[in-house]
Amino acid sequence: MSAVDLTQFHKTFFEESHEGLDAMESALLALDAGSIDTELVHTIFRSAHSIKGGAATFGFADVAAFTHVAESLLEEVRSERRAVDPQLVDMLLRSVDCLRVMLRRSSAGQPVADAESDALRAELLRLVSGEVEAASPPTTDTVSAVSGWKIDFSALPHLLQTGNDPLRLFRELQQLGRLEVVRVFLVEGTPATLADVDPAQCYMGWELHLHAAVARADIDAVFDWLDGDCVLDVSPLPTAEAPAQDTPVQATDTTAAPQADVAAQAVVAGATDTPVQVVRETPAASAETSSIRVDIDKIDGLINMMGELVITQSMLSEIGENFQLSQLAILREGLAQLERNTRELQESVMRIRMLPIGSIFNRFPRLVRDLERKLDKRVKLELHGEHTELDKTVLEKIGDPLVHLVRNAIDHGLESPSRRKAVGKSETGTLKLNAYHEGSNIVVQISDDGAGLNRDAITAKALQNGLIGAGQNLSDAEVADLIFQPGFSTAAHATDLSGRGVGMDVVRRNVRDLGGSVSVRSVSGKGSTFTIALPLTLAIVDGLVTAVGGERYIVPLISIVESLRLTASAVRKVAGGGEVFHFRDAYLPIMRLHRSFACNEAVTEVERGIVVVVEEDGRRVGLLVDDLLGQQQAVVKSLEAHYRRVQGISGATILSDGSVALIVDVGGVVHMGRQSKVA
Amino acid sequence: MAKILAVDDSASMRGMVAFTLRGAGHEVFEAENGELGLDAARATAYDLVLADVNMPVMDGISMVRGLRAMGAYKGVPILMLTTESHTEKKMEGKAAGATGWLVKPFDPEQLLATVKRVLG
Repeated sequence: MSAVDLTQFHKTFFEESHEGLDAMESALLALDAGSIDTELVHTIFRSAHSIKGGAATFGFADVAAFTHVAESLLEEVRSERRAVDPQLVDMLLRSVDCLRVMLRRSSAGQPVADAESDALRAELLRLVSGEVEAASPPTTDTVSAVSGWKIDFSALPHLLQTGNDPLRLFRELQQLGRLEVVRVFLVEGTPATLADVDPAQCYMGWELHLHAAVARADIDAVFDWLDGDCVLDVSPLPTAEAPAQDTPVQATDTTAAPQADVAAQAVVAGATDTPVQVVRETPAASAETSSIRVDIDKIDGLINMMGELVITQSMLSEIGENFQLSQLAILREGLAQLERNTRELQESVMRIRMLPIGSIFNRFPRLVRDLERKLDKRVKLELHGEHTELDKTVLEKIGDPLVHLVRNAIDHGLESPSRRKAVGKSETGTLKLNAYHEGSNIVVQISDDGAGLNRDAITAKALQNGLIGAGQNLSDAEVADLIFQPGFSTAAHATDLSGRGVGMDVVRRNVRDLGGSVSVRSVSGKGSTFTIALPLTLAIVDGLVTAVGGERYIVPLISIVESLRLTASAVRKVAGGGEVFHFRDAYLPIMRLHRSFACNEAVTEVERGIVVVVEEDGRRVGLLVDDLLGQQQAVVKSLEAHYRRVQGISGATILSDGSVALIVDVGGVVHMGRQSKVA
Repeated sequence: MAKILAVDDSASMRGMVAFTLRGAGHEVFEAENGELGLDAARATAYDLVLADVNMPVMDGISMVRGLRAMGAYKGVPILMLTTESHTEKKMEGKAAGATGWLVKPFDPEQLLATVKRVLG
């Protein structure tokens, strides 16, 4: 039975350790703000302690060793032997970072410790006063030449109340060798009359002879939990009494054997960072990304809803079994109930994938703190709406764009303290992160009270990079939009932090990939607000249903600029067979969807159809469709999973009449348009 | 076999303890802090309680005190799961009424041996 496979708990261990490090980090940051809160110190200590315990249990020796030193330092803080100062917090924050890396390496089966972690560990060790690194080896007191032991054991009255049972002790002693109960006696203080005896108390003492050539430590080990619960006196038995020694010696042997086994296993477990293990660990690491922790309330809600659905279903089938027209009202009521149940069930199922955005927001106090130091700025970070929930996939992918926007806001948005003072602002800038629901969207806003976008600098740069022509008169919105254009961010602009080759265009693209949009509003001298609107879920898209021939195509609303009917004269042919039309000071190409998707019997005259202007990555095209049929929420089904990837199509959905409609991938279609133009 | 209550805020430790004990045929109930542990102990009579020391909401030592204050748990074995670095915690646990302790890190074999020791 011995082979319990501990690897099955590794995933949980890594998850909870990362959570623990997050908790540690935010507590450290709160400490940094100057409040010595014992509860915070306890939280930090507890996190480190748990990680150490788990790492040691599951055989991540390097992690355990590192955490051990950090924990020792924290113990000094907890017991108020060490004061909290910024250097200490810094070092502990670095330890958190280091542990994150070590844990990630452990879960990937890579070598864990490196020069950096060793150096940091040494630094921590130097701080810890009087820390003795290696535990002293267990005192291997050699089996003395005694043949047995005389044990005087008197229970203190409360012994039984600690859950210890003298019988257990005798059983354990018997495993060491032959046990002889020489005398049983009542201890001093035993009540004189039976009436005064408390049955929950123990008043007995025993004189025992253990005929076994075992070490004194073996006997102490039996009584190890009884310190303070008994009076114990152990002395060697006179040798004259020596009985046959064979049995006892064997007894010690058998108890020693499993011990050796355990030690051997510990050695094996400790060797997790050998390359041999890498192969085995990898699948576990990849499995980690695909799990989700769901609040028990959500699951209970789901089960509840399911129960109601079952009731409705049974009610309806009862009506159906013997239906008469007089029951029509009841049937209608039942169907309405079914609809309600289905909707609620759908909402609940969707909610399973929803996680609070707080998990992303929690990264920012640390980021802001680091940036403050690096850039010599002062920032007050305000977080609002941390409980707003987002689809897990959206949440995972929105982190990087948000980090980028926060970096930008501090680097380029907020002014230096001296500059702020000069313009009459408080030296500390404010950075606000806010998340909230708006219709079927989640809105995340990043606002700063900095200088705002610099119109002149932006137009100058855009001119220089050829994004706009000289003398072009731009509205504020158009200027703001320039910063999202590919090729706007340049090396001249880059500092150590922002502009590491990642520009705002990447932010916009990432957000668009999630079906969202990003915009900026800026007031010179007052600050900027970046607004990201994200769909609640990737599983549902708000779309415009269009007809092309006999087919239905859904165009995501988020991409649509305008729909219009053109006159034949508005369309111009250009070289290469393309068609363009004039739209808001620009010429846009027309894409005939019936041609792109080879639909028969579609409207081919532009003036009889409708042109839907869509935008992707700043590029606009007009899609020619036969007609607009209405707006609908579509549940996205993957085409790849059931058929194969089709260019220009992002998925399929089922319409209310049961027919299938394809969802247009606007980016893909725009790309197709460009390709065909080249051809 | 025995009914055992395992209280630890670490899901991985709890999982390991519960899995090992269930494998040995015991019935195991898990709780993630002292307060929930006390609730569980009130609802069911357990034969053995395993308690981590450091836990949020209510730590293991307060929980042991709470258990011993209940009539039904006067003589029930309670083992603290401690770390080698915390000798004073062992003594604190004992003072609160713990039967004994199991030093972390432990492996499944050590856990089973210790449980066998108290349950016989």
